[in-house]
Amino acid sequence: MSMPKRAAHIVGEVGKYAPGYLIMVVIEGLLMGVNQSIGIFHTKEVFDLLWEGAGFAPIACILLEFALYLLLHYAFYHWFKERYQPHAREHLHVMVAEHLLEYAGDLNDRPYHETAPATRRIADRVDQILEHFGRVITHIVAVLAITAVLIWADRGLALVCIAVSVVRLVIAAVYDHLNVRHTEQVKQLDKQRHDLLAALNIKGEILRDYHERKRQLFTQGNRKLWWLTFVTESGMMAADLGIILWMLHGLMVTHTVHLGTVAVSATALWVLSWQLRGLYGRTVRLLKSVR
Amino acid sequence: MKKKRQQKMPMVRVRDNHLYLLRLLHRTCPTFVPLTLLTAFFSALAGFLGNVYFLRYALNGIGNGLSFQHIAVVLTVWLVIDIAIKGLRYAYHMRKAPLMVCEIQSRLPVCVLDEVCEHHIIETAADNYAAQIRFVVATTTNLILLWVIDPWLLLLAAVPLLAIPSRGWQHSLRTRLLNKSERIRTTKRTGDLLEQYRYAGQELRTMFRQQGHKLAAVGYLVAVLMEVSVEVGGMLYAVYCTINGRMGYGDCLVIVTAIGSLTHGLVHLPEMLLDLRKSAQAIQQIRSSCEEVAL
Repeated sequence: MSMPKRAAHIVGEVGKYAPGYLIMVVIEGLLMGVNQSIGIFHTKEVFDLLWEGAGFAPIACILLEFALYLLLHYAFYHWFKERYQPHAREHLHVMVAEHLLEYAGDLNDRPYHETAPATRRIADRVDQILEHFGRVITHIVAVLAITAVLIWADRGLALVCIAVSVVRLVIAAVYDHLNVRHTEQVKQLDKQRHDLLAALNIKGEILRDYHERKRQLFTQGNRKLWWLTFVTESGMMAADLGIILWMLHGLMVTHTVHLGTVAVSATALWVLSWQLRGLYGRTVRLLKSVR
Repeated sequence: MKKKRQQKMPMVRVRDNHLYLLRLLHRTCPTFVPLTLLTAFFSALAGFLGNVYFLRYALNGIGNGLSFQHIAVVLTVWLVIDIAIKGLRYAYHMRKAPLMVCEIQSRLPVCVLDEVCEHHIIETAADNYAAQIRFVVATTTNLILLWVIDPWLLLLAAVPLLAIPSRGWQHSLRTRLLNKSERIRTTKRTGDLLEQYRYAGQELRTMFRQQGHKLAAVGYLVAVLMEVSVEVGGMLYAVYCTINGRMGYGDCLVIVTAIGSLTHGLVHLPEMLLDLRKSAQAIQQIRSSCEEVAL
């Protein structure tokens, strides 16, 4: 079974045993995703009204509406995280144990305190998969919602932000790949050192060789990583400034853009890029956790 | 039987251990600590200038009648400087610092090498010191900025500090619940295995039902004090001042970010001190081993 199918299968199984929990995870994921764009939406509205010379009352209404949204959002979030989720997790744990005992009958002969840690680990794994699933939903919704707000603010701005964020994502994926390889090499070398020291028969030359190899690894491996990071971050900073200047030009010279769009453009690229990166990272983690 | 509580390391010992490590680092690689602190300083300063100061400058410039060309030139010059600072910072963190750590490790006594490498003691301690410098720079710059924009904003920035005791209480209750749930899970029971699972699950669910709402209420209070009061209260005040001509558009946009980073640093100060204590405990092991060898 492929990894996405396996992930879908496990999520489906959770849906069978604890449907309420799965529904709440999806709802929480959706709300967290929408939450990312609400701040941007309100910033645009407030600054547009300021630019148009509106009085304090209409802007205060928007901000109080935002406050009400935040109060409701945090009420749900903290109820879910502190009250509902730990309770539902324990229910899921019992369900996982029932499921395991059904398939592995010989476990029944073992005492509870011996089997509990193992079933706990499995339940934690299932819960981790569910957590990644929820966050994947959050990032998908956030990317869509932020894009929608950006399209509403300025189509060109949305297009540029998406293009730059996708390029950054591709470079980030290459970086992650190289970084994992580099970390593995360092770990391997460290393991050799650990084994050498454990063998008690330590020779100065062997350790010197270890230090030299580690130095070489850092000199060669980190060069590529440094270049990738530097190019990506410089490119992002230049793109970010380019977007701000473009919007400022629209506001001050051609008068085609409102102040709200300029205010939004200051953070839009980073927020969208961060969400896309998050989506990629979470999807990888979700797929890895079902291996 | 109640477990003995692990004794906290006294602050004097924490300080001594960090001083011990600093002396050790100075002896083995004299430039490591100064360079780490210097990069942290410039990175925090650049973060403030880029995210807050120049954004404020550009948007206030619209209201103050600055030309687009003028703003564009200033921002572009800043971009070049910022890219240079970031480039140097990445070069230090990704290329120079790991080599320096290798150099330090190669000069350490063999008896502590494994401990230092396994637990990344040098890297963790350096991160702690850098975090302190970043905290000082962010706090100072944001305090100055808020004072310059409007000293009353400092009152608003003080509101999230009320959340510090609640966060401490939340942390201790969460730790207690975690320990209790671990005890419930590992308690020996009699009867059918599935029944025991159900019984333990029921016990845990009751515990979370009774205590969860307290944690949720405190978490909600912390969020209201730290997020809602700053985001909405700050914006309401800023909008009011902007409409009355006491603030520029830029001030209005950046004060939420400035108050946010100021209070975030202050609220997380206890956690930062806890990190220092944790790394001091790790340093203690190197110190003991080195002192044994010296004897």
